[in-house]
Amino acid sequence: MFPFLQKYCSYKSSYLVFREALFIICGICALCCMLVVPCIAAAKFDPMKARGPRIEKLCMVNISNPDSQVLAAENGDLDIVSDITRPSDIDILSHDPKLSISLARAFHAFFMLLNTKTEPWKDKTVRQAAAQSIDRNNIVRTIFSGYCEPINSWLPPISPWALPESTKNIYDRAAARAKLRSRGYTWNVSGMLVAPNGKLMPKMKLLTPLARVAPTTAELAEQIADSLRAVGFPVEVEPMDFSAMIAKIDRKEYSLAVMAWGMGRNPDSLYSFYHSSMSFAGGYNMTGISDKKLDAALTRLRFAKNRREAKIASIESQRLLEDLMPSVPIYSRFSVAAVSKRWKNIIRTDKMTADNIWTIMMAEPKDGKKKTMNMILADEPRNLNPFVASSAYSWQVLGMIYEGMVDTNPITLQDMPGIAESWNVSTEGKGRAAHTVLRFRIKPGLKWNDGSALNAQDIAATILFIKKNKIPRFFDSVKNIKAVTAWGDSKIVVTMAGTSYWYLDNVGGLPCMPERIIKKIKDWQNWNPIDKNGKTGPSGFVGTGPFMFEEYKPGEYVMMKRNPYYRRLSGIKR
Amino acid sequence: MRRSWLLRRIVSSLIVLAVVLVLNFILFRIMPGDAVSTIIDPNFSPEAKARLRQLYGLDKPILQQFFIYIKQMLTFRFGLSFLSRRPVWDELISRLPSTMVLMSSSMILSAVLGIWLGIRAALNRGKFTERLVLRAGAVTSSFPSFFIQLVLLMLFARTFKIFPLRGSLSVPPPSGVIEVVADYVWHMALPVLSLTVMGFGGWALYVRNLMVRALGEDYVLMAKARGLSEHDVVYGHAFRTILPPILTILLMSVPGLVSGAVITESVFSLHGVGTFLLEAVSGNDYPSAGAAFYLLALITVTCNLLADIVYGVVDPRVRIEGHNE
Amino acid sequence: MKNFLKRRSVIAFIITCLLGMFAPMLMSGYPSDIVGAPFSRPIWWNTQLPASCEFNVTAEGVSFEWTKLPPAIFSLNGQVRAEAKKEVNIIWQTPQKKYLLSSLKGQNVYWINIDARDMVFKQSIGVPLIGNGAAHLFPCAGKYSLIIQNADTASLKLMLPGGRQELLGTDQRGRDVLWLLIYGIRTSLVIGIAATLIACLLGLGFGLAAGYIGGITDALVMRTVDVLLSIPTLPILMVLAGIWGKGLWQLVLILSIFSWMGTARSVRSMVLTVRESPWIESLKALGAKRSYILWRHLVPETAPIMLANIALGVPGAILSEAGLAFLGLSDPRLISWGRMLHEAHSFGAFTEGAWWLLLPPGIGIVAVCLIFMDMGRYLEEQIDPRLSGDKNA
Repeated sequence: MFPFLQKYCSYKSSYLVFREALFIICGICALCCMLVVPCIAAAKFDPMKARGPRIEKLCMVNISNPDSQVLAAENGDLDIVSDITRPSDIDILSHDPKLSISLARAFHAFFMLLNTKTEPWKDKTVRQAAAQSIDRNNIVRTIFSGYCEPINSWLPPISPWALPESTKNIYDRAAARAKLRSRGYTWNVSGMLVAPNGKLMPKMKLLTPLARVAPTTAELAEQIADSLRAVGFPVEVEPMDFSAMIAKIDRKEYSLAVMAWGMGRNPDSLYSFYHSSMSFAGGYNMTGISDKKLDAALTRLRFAKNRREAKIASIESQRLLEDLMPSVPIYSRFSVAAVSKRWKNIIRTDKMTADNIWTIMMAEPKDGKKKTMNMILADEPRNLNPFVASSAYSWQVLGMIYEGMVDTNPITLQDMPGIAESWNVSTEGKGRAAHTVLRFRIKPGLKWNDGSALNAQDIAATILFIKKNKIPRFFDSVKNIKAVTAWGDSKIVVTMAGTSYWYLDNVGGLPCMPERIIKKIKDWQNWNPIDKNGKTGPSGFVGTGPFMFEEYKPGEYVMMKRNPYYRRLSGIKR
Repeated sequence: MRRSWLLRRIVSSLIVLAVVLVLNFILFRIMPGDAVSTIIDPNFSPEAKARLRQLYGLDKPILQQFFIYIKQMLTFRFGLSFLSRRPVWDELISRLPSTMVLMSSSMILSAVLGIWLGIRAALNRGKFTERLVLRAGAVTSSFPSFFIQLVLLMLFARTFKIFPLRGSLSVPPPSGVIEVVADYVWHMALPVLSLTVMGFGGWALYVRNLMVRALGEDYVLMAKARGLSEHDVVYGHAFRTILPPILTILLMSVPGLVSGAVITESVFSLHGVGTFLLEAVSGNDYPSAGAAFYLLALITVTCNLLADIVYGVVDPRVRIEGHNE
Repeated sequence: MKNFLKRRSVIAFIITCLLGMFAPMLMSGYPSDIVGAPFSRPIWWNTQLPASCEFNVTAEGVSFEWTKLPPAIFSLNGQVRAEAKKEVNIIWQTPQKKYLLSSLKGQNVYWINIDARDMVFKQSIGVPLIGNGAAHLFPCAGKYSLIIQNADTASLKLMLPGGRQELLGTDQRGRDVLWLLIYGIRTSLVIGIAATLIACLLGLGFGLAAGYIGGITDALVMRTVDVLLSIPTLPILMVLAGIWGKGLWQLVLILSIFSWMGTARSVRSMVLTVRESPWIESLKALGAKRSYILWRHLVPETAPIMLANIALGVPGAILSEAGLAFLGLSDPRLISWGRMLHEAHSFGAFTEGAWWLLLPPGIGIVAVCLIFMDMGRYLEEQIDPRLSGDKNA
């Protein structure tokens, strides 16, 4: 702990150091506690030995009004309610004896973007000072009633790649002022900053999207602006339509902006956000940061040959980002879910709330009577074509039907066998011709949900189809594939262009379909698997997932039934 | 005379439609950003976005996009929605029944109730009935729509559990035609009730004013002097006079129904055209929003035309003297 | 005129205007200040819940009796001084348990910032992460004490915002609802009146031009009216709000652009009927210029229609603004009643049962609408005496 403190003592006032220490200790304790308590439940749960689904029918009920969702949960009309965001709802449902509530970190982070190409954000120390002036605790308390956590990390804390101090709260107003003073800034009589050249700092606008999509963002922006003004930055909030805001950020015509985005598990997304080559109009480097060391580390991260290299590059990139502070991380959400106590075998881990696919697979009614499980579907899945559908709600349905070769372990969030039982990532060729080769071995004896046997040709056909048609949703995952070959019934070799450890997750996550279905698809853009007339392609959803599609009433519900050929079903009474 | 008047009206309606078409196109393209630019997802690189734009046709020059748009609108083949990638026509058709049933039943109910109450109020000048009708109408039409709907939802779907919370069908739906219809009516009762309650006030006030003016006319006095019963005077003579404005208002209020639908559908989680429009506009979904606006403009223009024709049929002075233009 | 001023609705209107204009000047602070816990009830409702209280804590600690339900928030802030080598403990003693809130060592001055809403804090004292942390710190009625061990001096504040606060309670952020309501009068009235005034002026101008000049102008104006009527209002308001941005005056402009059509039509039809009448003809014979006829004669003729339209148009504008705010399209920095209802709805006031957040702005909107409708009806009856109860007309 002491080397830690020494590093921070150099630019923090001493009387706040121990407050920081307290938070760090508590943070680490919290991490451990969050692991220990649910592990008592998780210790009994081994995802490799999970058997199910034990329910025959799963109904996803479409309720878009959040008030109606809560009322439905209280009435008992819904068994699983996911992603409860409003603190008042969390409190109401936590008092309900018929529901059990679970909490876990989410793959989400909220940032304040700084335009590093304009004054005063060109100066790294000024950016660090701005990061330290924001009272994140107060924001989390007043706006989210504590159901978020302050972060200082460019990856969400739940990611296994995030640094251990990712939930540190770096708020320290005095240290921020000291930093500004060290760069030659002074304050005038009303407390506003005066630049080193003697001129008063011009007013800066903090762009924020409107309330329709994220109701709390406008207030968040006000509080952040208040924090910055308390240190002397002349910041004003400017709410605007989200598209207009994105357009302005693209043209780099902004000073500060706030935005949140969902993230995946892997850290190579940092390349898209912070590498200088991504700073063009439409690219994701919205802050315009351009630093040689950071570029080198991010390149090493994106094109790492193996896990060890990836880990080293990931740690280095994150440490550099902490020093450069191109964007200021503010907080990360928790996700809260409620599950009805009428079911047993509810699985929750410290990484997932109880509304995950393992619960749906393993749950059984407590009273032993056969029941349909009702799950919330917060918005309509307007399109159920797996090649085209992009909304999270479509994939809530499609994710039950289709699977990829590589799955995710719910306890460690690392890779776990899916359709493939094992794989190998190797680098072949030397120098410039070095490239990654992925070898997957498919589990023997697997069947599609219509009873036909699964073999490697099916998977190869799916991947080639996606690549040939340049399907946008999977474009990034397949654009670097040079060749896909199926050897026999159970081996697939995918040759990539260039090296990257992340190719494994990219290719392993693609949904798999039988070759004969792929051959029959005439128009993949307009394909609707629900249509029975077969004009654009075959009807029906043929996958390997635990559930099959049964019926969709637009605006009302999606009914799914158990896949009788699912590979984890062996040993379950039908 | 009549044919040329009709022809003139049709031509002017077509001009209006054309202007609306062009305006819609311009309006949406002026809005900054498009359906693809607002996707912020590290797994969706700018290359993938470019490919998506290509599939949407957004990378074509703007004039070419305009001609494609005009062709789509005129042939009613609206293409694929940007947000859902399904044909816009299919999506509209699947949502139309719900909205139509909701809006037409609430419009008819509130009109019938309002007209009846307005006439009763006009006949009982100065008495308690008139004051009650006017006050109740004024109060109910001053409430913001979502307010009444949410209160009704809380009262009757949660506290008293008489009506369902959401949607237009139970999960799972009952079997048998009569049960399905009954289930549908049970689900639609609250939305229709809330819209009727909010709508009758305006009708009552307007009809009362019209009726009072009509009852003050000389011919009514003449009819009473001739010994006709009150019922005949009111419904045979005075009502016929006020029928043209009532029909006009009825037809003119059709286009405004969609705006009312937006809020109702979001409160009661209904699968209708209002939410479709809302999502299309906020998501920069040009095909969907363009198609929806175009259809609404068509309906409005048609209703205007019908209103004028009906007015002409019922009030012969109009078409003979060409007074109404 | 005297009769007009004596009407209850007009008196109410004048009072509301005065309140909206002067009350904010008399009160201190801003309506956006947080004064208490979120969703606290009005102070006169449900006295089982505790009102907010505060305690100043010195190194001796503090002790008190607690008889009501737990408070909503437990917050301890301030400074503690002690010798570096001593271990300072802050302990919370309940009738059932003892909680170690904080344990500090190694410095002379400590800044304390403890709040029972923090997850980290909940973990450290072992209470469940979900639910109100303060509720676990106040399990039953009895004696509670905050003990500070081994400190030399301490100046701390223990704040316990309770479930009851202020005359009309607080909203989801903890702001005083009464204050927000009074502040919102200004916004709602300004938007309503300004939008309607501008719409009526536009309608007057276009209607006069179309009716009097006739010909091409008439056709053009009427086609514009048709086009504007063919566009559905709410969606186009969304699109325009997206292009022009949010803000009070943008909203006023957008609302007025879509409301002038009705006035234009009635003014135009009135001008058409009057245009051919003898007295206008005689004015023309006398050599009066067009602008003179329009300004000195026709405009005063339209005055009754305009007044009635204004009075009846204001409720429409206020309700449109409420509808737009409900969909989240209004300026979030602007406090208006529609915005209050929107925030109440999206932050869960309905499921929470927070009637004090919903009824005041709702009733406020209804009241203002009724006031204007009454004034409008009175003016209509003045124009058209048959509408009043006077049977001799």
